[in-house]
Amino acid sequence: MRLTFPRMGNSHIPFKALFASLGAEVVVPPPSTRRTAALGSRHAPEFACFPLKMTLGNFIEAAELGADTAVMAGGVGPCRFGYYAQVQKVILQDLGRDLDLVVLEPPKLGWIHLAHQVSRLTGGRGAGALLRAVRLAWAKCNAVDEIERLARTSRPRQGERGAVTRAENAALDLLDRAESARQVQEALEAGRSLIARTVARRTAEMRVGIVGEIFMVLDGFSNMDLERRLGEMGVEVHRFLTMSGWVRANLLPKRYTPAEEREAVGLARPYLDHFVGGHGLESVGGARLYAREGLDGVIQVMPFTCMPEIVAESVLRTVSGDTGVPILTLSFDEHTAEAGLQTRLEAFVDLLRRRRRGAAGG
Amino acid sequence: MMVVGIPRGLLFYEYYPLWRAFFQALGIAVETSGPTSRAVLDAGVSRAVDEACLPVKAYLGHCLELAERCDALFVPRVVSVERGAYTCPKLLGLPEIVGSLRTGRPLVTPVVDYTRGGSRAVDAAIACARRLGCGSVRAAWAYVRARLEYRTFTESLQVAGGWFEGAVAGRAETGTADRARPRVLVLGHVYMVNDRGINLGIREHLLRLGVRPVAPQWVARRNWTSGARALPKKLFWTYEKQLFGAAKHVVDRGECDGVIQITSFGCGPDSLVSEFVRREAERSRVPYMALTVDEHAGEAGAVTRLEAFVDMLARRLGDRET
Repeated sequence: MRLTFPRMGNSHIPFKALFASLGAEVVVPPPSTRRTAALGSRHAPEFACFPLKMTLGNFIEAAELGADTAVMAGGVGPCRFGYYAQVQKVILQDLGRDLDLVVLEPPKLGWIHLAHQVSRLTGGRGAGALLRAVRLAWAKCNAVDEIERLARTSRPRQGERGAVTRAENAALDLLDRAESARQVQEALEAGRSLIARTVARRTAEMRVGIVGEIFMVLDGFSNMDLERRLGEMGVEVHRFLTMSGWVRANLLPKRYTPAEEREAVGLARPYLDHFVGGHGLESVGGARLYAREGLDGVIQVMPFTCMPEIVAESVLRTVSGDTGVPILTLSFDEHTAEAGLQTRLEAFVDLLRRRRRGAAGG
Repeated sequence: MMVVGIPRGLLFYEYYPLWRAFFQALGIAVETSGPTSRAVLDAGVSRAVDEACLPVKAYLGHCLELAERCDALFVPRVVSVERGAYTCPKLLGLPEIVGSLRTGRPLVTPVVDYTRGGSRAVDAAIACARRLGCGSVRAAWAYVRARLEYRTFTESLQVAGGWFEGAVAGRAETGTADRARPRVLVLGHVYMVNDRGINLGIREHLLRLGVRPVAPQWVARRNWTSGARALPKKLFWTYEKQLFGAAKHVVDRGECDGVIQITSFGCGPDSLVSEFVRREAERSRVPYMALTVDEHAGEAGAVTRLEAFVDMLARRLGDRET
């Protein structure tokens, strides 16, 4: 079995560790590029949302490298994500790609089915091997999140442009190579100091919170390196959506849900009194949370036509009016142009800067 | 007397007869907005977020128009109409989307949620009636009466092959039995198929072109449910399941000569399910056309495409006879 999986930000680091420790031959899909996006959009339904197209592109590129099995997550709606795998399956068949999609559906749709799919992936290995693999992957997952967080807070304070991104990539590479939980800790420490050495200023000029649909928030290629762009404009970026947070919120009992995410859902209630799928509630509540924490602005990130985020966007205007915090909505798909994004970000940051000066002067 | 306003959009085309009968039985006057006009669309478009779909934008336009003529707007939150499935995220958040308009009118927003089974519509009806100052017993009675009336409506759609306007008015449909004319399944959500203001008058154009339009709503529940079993995984959107299942049923039995799927730009569920409908049509060698509309769609362009499609159908039928 030559196993692959979709890319989402740096999630390939823990995924690779998970499946490789289970003895599978792992084919990491090549980093997403314009070609990935083009392949995905050419073969996916025209109006499907962007993550479907990107992950389809990942599957095609991994199949080119010889992958024969792909792991994909399922879902129970109402967000479209829960039906991605079924659509991708028929498309891959049409393309003559011999890629067997193993879909991990939430236990709600049947424990037995899930256990069966998992056992296909573990190749009949025992619970001990599974536990060890999960432990290593979980350590990497948390470490990757920590490195990303450090990069977000350090980038606006870097002495030299690009220094944090270089340090971050080096740190992620160390994490990727780590073979045990202890090595992950060592890699994390090394990564911390690499990033710390790039910092030249004590504080960032301003702070912005990012909310939105998780794939688009986490995937740097899909959101056109939004966090790097903001960081290089002197903005410290905050977000509570992370890989490990997703695992805690979706696969573990409720009490393990990250505190900020739980709080955000509560804060959303006066504005959105019902869940709408995806991260709709978290986006609305997250904007309020960041307003309360005194951040300068909030950016909502979503794939073009994302249903839950469109509902969130409809009420975010009211949230912005009530809290006085500017909110910018960015939606991405294969047609999004870099220059347009850069201009909008510069204008937004300019607006925030002006507000800050106004507040300080008045 | 209190006047409740029911905007003419979205699930209006599914449940209006039920809602109307319910309020009438409670002695509450019902006002509806007029047909979707350019002015209604423009008002909705100007207040909605850009990426909302045309039916939602039109709905907001109807709310704005109606707010001036009623005491409260009826904007239900229809989360789910069957166990284990939803409607659409935008319908789940509809009261808040309408709320962002700040029309100045209070919203009456009963929550209908069958995701975990049970009989939640009656709970919603009672809660709604209490909110309007009526007692629970009276509400339950009004609901039962409304269900009866609603059944007549759905039967007149399914048994007689009627369309929304006729069935609401209690008119018998004058269907054409002319066997030589091609039958086209006009596949789409109720608010796409029945709202002339947003579907560019597709049904009228088809009639003019000598086509017999067929509605997915004519297919009985048990038939579309069994049709939907052909999907690779149980769909978690009821109305999409109905669309796919109805198309499968009609296409399999050779009850149509072509399929036109009318979709609003940016419709999430349609974006995936239309892929399966198209495959089903191709498998059965039934011509399929997707028509996507938004606020910029021009009627002339759509008519040209319809004419080309119908010409092609007529040629195919002619070839088959000779």
